[in-house]
Amino acid sequence: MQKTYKFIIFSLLLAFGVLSANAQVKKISPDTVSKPWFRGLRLDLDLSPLVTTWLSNSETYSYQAAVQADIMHKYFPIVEFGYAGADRTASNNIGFKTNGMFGKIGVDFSLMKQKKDAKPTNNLFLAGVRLGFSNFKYDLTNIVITDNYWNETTTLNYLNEPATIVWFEIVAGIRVEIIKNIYMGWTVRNKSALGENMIGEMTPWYVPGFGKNAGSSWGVNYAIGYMF
Amino acid sequence: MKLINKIYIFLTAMIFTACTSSDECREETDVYMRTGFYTKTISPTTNKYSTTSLSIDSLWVNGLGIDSFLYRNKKSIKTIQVPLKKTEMQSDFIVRFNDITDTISVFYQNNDRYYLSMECGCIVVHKVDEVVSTNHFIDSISIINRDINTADAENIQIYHF
Repeated sequence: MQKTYKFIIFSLLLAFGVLSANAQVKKISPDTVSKPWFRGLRLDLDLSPLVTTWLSNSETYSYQAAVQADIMHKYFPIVEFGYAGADRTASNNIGFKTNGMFGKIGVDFSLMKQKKDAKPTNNLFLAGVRLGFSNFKYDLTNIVITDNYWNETTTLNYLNEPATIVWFEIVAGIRVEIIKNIYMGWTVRNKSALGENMIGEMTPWYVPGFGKNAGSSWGVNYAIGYMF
Repeated sequence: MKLINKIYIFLTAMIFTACTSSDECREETDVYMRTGFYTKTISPTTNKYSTTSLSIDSLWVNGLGIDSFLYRNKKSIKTIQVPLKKTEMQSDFIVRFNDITDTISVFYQNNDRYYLSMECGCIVVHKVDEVVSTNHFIDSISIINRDINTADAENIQIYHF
């Protein structure tokens, strides 16, 4: 937990540092050449599952792609979509299994301001928001209920339990043009589930696109993209 | 580019310092019907009944058909907590108050979808419909809280006048 707190504090400091540094550059350079408002579409493919699936001992997996538009190199509307799942057996032998599609829609804003005399760059430092959605089914199996006094034992299996989860994300990331039209970069995201579960309500351990179903979670994507 | 390099290093380090989660159940899983003993006394001045807690000198409790006792000659006891059957909708208890024995039958509905967590699984909670008893020591029974779960709340009150 201490690591999580350190990470949150570091992330906030980083975000405020970037925003304040950005805010100090207030001089607006006059555009001498008119540019089109639409600057292209970038298709991103998330490479992080290569690492995160291994880190989770193959209990969870999540594959994601995104299409992001460049509007005036300031606004970056984005649609993200993917397929994720989990297959876990807890130490008490309770099994959880799910898989399903998820989608996110949102927008990023460029945090980089071009200095007057600087060489033009296509690299991006972005911050933005997402609204995520996943409709899926899950299995919760091998729940053993015992009562030592009445000498009762029963095993419960809940199959194809439906769930619809909506969540909100705050994201920050970078994209660097490593060769012409090919971009790579990170996105860090903090996810917060919308709506609260009732006490005792059955909830999925893992939500496609959201992750482990705590009230909030962190995620990291490492993407390679092509700008059309 | 220096800032970008720093972010790369930070994020890479973050992945390898991922938190480990505990796999133990740390939540309350015991579900008991909590019962209090009471008596009603009439006030000579106001002529109104008032309810006071009743301490039983010696109490024995066991489930009908079960040899082992939940309470065995327990002295000076005011409350008890007893488990209900999780796969049936009726539980019967033999309760011996000092030397007087009563049988209490509890009728209820079970909910086996009360989910705690992946580590703890589900527990069976109950909703009490009715409680009946013989009336050798017991005069009446009131249902105070029909929901029987892990909460530390009194469910029924047993009255002896």
